[in-house]
Amino acid sequence: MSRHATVTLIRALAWKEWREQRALVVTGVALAILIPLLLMVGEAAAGRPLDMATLAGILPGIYILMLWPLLSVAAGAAAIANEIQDGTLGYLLSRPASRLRVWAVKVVMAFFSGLVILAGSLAIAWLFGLLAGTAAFSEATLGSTPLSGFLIIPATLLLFATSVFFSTFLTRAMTAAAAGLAASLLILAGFFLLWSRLEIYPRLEPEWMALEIFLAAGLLLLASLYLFWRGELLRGSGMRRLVPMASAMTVGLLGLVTVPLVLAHGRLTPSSAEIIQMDSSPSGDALVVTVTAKDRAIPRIWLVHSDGSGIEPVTGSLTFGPTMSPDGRWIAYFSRRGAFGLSREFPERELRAIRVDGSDDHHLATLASYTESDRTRASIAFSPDGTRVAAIGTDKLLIAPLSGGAGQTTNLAQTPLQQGSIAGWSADGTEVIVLSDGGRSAKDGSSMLAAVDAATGRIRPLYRSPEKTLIWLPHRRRAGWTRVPIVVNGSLLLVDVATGNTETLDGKTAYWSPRISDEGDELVYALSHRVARAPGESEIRLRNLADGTDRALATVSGMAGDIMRSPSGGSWIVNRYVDAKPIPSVSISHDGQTKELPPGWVGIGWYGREQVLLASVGDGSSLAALNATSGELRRLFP
Amino acid sequence: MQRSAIVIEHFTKRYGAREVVHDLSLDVPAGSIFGLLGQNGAGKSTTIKTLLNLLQPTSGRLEVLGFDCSSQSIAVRQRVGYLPEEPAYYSWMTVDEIVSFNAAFYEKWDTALAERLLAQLELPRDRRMRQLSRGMQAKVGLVMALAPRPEVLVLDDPTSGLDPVVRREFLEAMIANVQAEGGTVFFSTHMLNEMERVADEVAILHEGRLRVRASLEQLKAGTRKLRAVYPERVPDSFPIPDLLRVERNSHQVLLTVTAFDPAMPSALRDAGAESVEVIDLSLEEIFVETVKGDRS
Repeated sequence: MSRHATVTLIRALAWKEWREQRALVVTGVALAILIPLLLMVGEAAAGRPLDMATLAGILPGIYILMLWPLLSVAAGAAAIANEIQDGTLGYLLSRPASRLRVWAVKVVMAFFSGLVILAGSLAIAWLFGLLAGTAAFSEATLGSTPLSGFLIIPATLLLFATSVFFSTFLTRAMTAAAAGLAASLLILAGFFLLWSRLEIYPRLEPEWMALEIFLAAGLLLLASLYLFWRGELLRGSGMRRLVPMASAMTVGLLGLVTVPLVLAHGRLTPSSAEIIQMDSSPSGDALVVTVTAKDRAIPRIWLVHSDGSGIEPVTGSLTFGPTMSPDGRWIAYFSRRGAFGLSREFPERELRAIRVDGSDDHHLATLASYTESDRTRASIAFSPDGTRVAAIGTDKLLIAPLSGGAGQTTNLAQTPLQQGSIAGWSADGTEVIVLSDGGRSAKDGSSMLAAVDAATGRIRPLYRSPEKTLIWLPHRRRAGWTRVPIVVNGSLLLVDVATGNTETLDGKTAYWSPRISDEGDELVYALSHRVARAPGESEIRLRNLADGTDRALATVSGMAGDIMRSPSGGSWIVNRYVDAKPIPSVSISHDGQTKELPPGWVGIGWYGREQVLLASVGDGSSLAALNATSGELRRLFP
Repeated sequence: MQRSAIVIEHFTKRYGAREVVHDLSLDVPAGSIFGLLGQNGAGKSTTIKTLLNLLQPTSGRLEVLGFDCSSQSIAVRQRVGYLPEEPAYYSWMTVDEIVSFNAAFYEKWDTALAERLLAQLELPRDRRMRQLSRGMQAKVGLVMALAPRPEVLVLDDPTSGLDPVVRREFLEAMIANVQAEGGTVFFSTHMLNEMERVADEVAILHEGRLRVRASLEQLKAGTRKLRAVYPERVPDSFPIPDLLRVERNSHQVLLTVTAFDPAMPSALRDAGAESVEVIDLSLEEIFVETVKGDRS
C-alpha cells in the first residue's frame, strides 16, 4: 500500500472513530460545565455558599481525579464493544485493512477522546480561575502535587486499557466499562497488597508503582490486540476459548516480568540485607537494627535475638532510627510510611512506638522535616523513666509521651542551637541534652551543648566550644546524664548538667573515648598517643567520679575507639584503629589482662555477663556473639 | 488449462467439538458464476467468511486469485467485492459518507463508477443509512462492492429479505458489472430460481460436506427421476448405478439418479418394470433430492 493510501486510510479510520466518540466528548465537556454549577447550587442549598476562588481551586482535582479516569473508561469500553454489538465490526474487518491498523486507530482515538475531555474540562477550570481572579494551575499548585498524585496518569491508563480489553469481547459498552472499572480496581488492589503487605522489594516507591501499572496497562492492551487479531469476528465459541487464554497470557506475562524482579531482590532476607543503624536492649538480649536492601532505599526495622533464637521484622518498610526504651520493652522509631504503605510526602515523617513483640504500634507525633544528615543523626532518646520520647528532626525538637498524648515541639532554628543531635536526657528526666551541629549551623563554626526543658522548651546553654571547634559527641546514655563527657580539641571535658560547670581532664593527646558507667560512678577513657609510621598506643584509664581517683587499666596498641564495660563491671571491650582502619578489639579484665578478639569484628555491647556482641568490620552487616570465656563465636545475623 | 479464481483444498472448520465444514475441496474457474447451495448451517457462510479471513480455517488451504486467504488476506480483500448476508453499516453515516469512507480502503476504487452506480440505483446521497429501507441499504452495499472493480465478487445470500423486483434489479446490476470485465462471481443463495437463472456452475454443501459439484448444465442433464411401475411387488435392487434416492411403495418406485443414461429405462423394463417414466428436475428439485437422498 502506498504512503498516500496509508495516510488516506488512517485518516478515514480516525474520522470514523472520532465521529463515534464525539458524543462522549460532548457529554464529558457538558459534565465539566455542570459539575461546578451543581456544586454551587448544592452548597448554596446546604447553607454553605461556595466562593469562586474555592471552586476554581477544587475543580482541576475533580476533573483530573474523577472525570478524566471515568470518561476514559467509557471511551475505552466503547472502542470495540459498540461495533461488536451493532454488527458493523464485520463490515469493517472485511475491508482490506490490517487488524493491527484498525485496532491501533481505535485505541489511539479512544484515548485521544479522553484527553480532549481532560483538556476541555481543564479549560473550564481555568476559566473559573479567571472569573475568580485566581490562577487555577499556579506553579506552586503543580509543584506541591505529591509524586503519588501523578499516579493518576498510569492509573487512568490502566482503567482505559482494562476497558479496552473487555471491550474486545463483550458486546455491550456498559458491561465492558463496569468490568474494566472492577478489574482495574482489583489489579490496583493486588499491587498495593503485594507491595505494602508482602513487603516485596522493589515495591513502595511511586515510580515503581507507576512502572508496574504502566506495565499492566501495556499487557492488557497487548491482550486486547491479540484478541482482536486472533478473535475472528470477536464473538461466539472461538472467543470463549480465546479470552481465558489471553487473560492467562496477560497474567503470565505480568508474572514473567515481575517474578524475576521479586526473585532478584525478593523479600528482604538477612543474607541480602544491610544494617545501617542499630541499638541494643539494656540487657543486650536483643538488637534492634535498621536494615535495607543494597540500594539503601527502603529501610525497615528488624529485631535480632542475641541468644541466636532468630531474627524477626518488627515494622513495615520505610521505617528507621530504632531506639529501645530503658526497660527494653518498647522501640521508638521514625516512619515515612503513608497510606497503602506508600512513602509519605517528603520531608514528612512520623515518630512512632511499638512493643518489642510487634504489638501496640502507635503514632506519637509528626515531624515535617528531614534532611540527608538525619540519616546518621542521633535522633531519638527515651527519658530515663521510659515514659517520654524525645526526637529531633533537623531543627525541631519534639517531646512526646509514650502513651501517645499531645507532645511539645521546640523550634531550634530560632535558638543558638539552630539544629542538632540528641545526646540524651538529664538524669532527672526534666531536660533533653542537645548538641548543636557546629560548623553546619553556627555562623562562627562553633558548636554548643545545651539542655532543653522538656516541659517549657526553654534552652539552657551548658557549654559552647571555641570558634571553629567541634564538640565530639559521646555515647548516649539511657540512664540520663549528670555529667556529660565531651571531647573538644583533643581534651576531655566533663560538663555538669545541673550547674553547667566544666571540668577539664589533664591530657595532651589527640584521642579520647570517654564513657560513663551505667551507675554513673566511673568514667573510662583512653589516652592515645599517635606515633609516626607506627600503630601508636592507647592507655585505658579508669576514673572514680566520686573521689576523683584515676588509674591506668591497661595499655593497648592502636588508637582506642568505643570502650564498653561489662554488666558486672569486671571487664571492658576496647575497639581499636590504626590509620582509621579497625584492628581486632581487645577485652581487658579488671586486673589489666588483655585478650584480642577475633579479627574482622568490632565490639558493640555486652549480652549477659559473658557474651560480647560484635558487628562485622566495614559495613557492619553481620552480627555475632562471642563467649568471652570460651572464645566461641556464634553468628546472629545473617 | 483453465485458471481458477478460487481454490479450496481440504478445508475443515471446527468450533470446539462441532465440525461445521469437513474436508471441503473446490475450485472456482475464473470468469464463472459459481453458486454455492446448501441449507442453513450447511457451511456456506463459514466458507465465504474464511475466504475473506474473517474466520480462520482449522485445517486446509484457501486461495483467491493465487493469494493465500490467511497470510495474504489484505491482497485478497483488495481484489474481492464482498456482500454479506445481513450487512450492518454505520447507521449514522450518510450514503455519501459511507461510500467515501469505503473508498479509503481500496487502491483501485473507481470514483466515476461509484458515482454512476449511485445515480443508476437512484440512491439518496445525503440520507443517513438508518433512514434507508433494507433494499436501499443493499444497493449501497452493491455500490461499495462494485466500485473497487473487484476481480472476484463474493456474495453471501445478499438478496435474502429483498422483494422480487429489487432482487432481480440487484442481481442484474451486479452480474452485468462483474461479468463485463471477465470477473468471477462466487455466491450463495437460498433463492434457487435465481441461481438457476445465472449460475454456470454449482456446488451443494450438506452438513459441512460437499455433495455435488458440477456445471448447471451437467447437473440438470445428469440428475433425473425415473418412475417405474411393477406388476407385482417392487424388487429390492435395481440395475442402475449412482442412485441418489429411492422412494418405493407397493407397485411403484421413484429412483433419483445423478448420472442419467438414456439406456436406464430399458434396463429397468428388462428387470421387470411394467412402465418407466423419465422426469426432468429443476435445480430446486435436484437440491431437495440431494439433501433428502443424503438423509436416506
